[in-house]
Amino acid sequence: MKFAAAYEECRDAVYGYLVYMTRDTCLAEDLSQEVFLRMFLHLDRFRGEANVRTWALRIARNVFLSYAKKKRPLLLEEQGWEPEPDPGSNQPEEEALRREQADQVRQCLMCLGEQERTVLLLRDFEELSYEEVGRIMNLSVEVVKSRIYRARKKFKGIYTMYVSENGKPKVGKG
Amino acid sequence: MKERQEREGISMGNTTAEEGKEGYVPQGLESHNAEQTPDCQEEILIPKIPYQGEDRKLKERVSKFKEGSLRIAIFTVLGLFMGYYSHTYVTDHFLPTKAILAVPYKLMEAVYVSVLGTDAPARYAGRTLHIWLTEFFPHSILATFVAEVVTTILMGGAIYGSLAYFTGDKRVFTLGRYLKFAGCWCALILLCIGAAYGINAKAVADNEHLRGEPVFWLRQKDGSSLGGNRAVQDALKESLHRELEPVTLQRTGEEEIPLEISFGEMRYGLYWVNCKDCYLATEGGRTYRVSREFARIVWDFYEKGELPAEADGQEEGEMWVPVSETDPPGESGKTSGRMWQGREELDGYPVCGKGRYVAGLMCVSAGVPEGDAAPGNKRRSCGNILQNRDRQAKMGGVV
Repeated sequence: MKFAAAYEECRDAVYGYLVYMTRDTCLAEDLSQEVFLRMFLHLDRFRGEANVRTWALRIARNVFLSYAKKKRPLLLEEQGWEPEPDPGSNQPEEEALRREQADQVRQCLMCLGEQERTVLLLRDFEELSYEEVGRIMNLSVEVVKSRIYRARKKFKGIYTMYVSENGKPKVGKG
Repeated sequence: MKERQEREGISMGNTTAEEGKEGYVPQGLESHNAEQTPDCQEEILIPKIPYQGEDRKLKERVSKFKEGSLRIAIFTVLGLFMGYYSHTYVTDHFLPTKAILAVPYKLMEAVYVSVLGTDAPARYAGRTLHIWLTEFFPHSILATFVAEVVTTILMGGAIYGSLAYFTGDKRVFTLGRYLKFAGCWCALILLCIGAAYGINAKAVADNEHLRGEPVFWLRQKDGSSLGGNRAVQDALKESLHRELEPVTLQRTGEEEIPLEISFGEMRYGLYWVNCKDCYLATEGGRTYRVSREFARIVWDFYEKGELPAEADGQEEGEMWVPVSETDPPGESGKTSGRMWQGREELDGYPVCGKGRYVAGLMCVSAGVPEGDAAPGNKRRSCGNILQNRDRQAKMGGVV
């Protein structure tokens, strides 16, 4: 598989995952560069056994973990609620609404630990199968399911707490 | 206890042996199927965040890697050339370029001479077969070539390739990646160093057993040496092998005459001949019985500077001009009448290996005066001139 094709397929998935994990678009961009460099260097080792997106996300997770362990261990832990600053009211309404939703979800995700965050993002954001999630996180399918269950429960608890403060129900059904 | 451990194991991200098994259901979920529980079916709607910037930004490190790799490759190739020409630093008088050029050679020298040590101190005979290429391993030209040329080339490539590495983007060319790069070069250089020592060890072992086609360098008391013509070489070779056999005896080191032997122009060995007791000793201490004739040839030349008359085809009473230490045969033309490893011979008369006209300049006692040759003879070899002289003498011409 050529690098250009792999890049096109994985760009948004990798970037989005890292944005949610770091809550910092600049840092996410920086880490994404590293992910794509590693993909470029090791593309010959990719045997095609899994989806290229699964492979890319596995690299992205490893890059994030390496960075967080060395530079910002706080990113691995559950963090307190920190509301995002209001970006201003001169944006189109639809754009502003989407942005607000993304911010709310990001804030809720940061209240989870790294494992719970990752498993939720891979399953509900990237829409990977349980097997693929298990492959990325080196876990069995059953463990993945139980973690997703716990993570969703915890997320809903946090989100409900947030929603109850603002009166805006946001959780949907799959 | 087991429940708590499993819960902790799950929450901490560790899996027990049981969790990894197919079909395992964690405690707490035994009573329902995770697939069918409404709570578990609800997915979280997480908004997509597509990348809004330029692709060039996300691929920045990839392009830096490509540029940096090309630069490293170019620098490495240049470094290989610098390594090859590194020994020419001695002729460079401009200090900055001299210093840059010298680095690979001096580093190689430090490794071989200071750190590892070579046979170079064994060159106490004072004369080696080739002045260059025996500096580190005088016994083996090939080993010295590997040490002095190949190792220096590799060191040049490693040093200048590393320079290019350090000037690259630090986010791409990290220390970890550099260590892999340096590790590969170190392995290659170590292999080369091992090859040099291995080749030398083989050469020394072969010298100990006198393997190969020998060419002898007889020595005189004053330190000068001579190869002798082909007849001399043949006589020495034949007489050496006639009774050559290993013997065990107590050497006193007295009355031993140094003898240099080269094998195939690639190996060089120093030996000692005791002409009184007729034995030959190697550098490693092995001793061989030799024939009386061999001992006599060595002795005659050492003491009197004479070669066996039958062996060299000279007329009796002729004396060859000895080769001086600084005057390699065939180089200046002054001694080009001498035999260079028995290369040419014309009816028993020696000829200069390069066919130079040097009549009168080499065979002193032959009586051929300077400027003897007629204009037509100017380009003939000295052997031809002697031959012509004899022919004229037979025909009654003036000598």
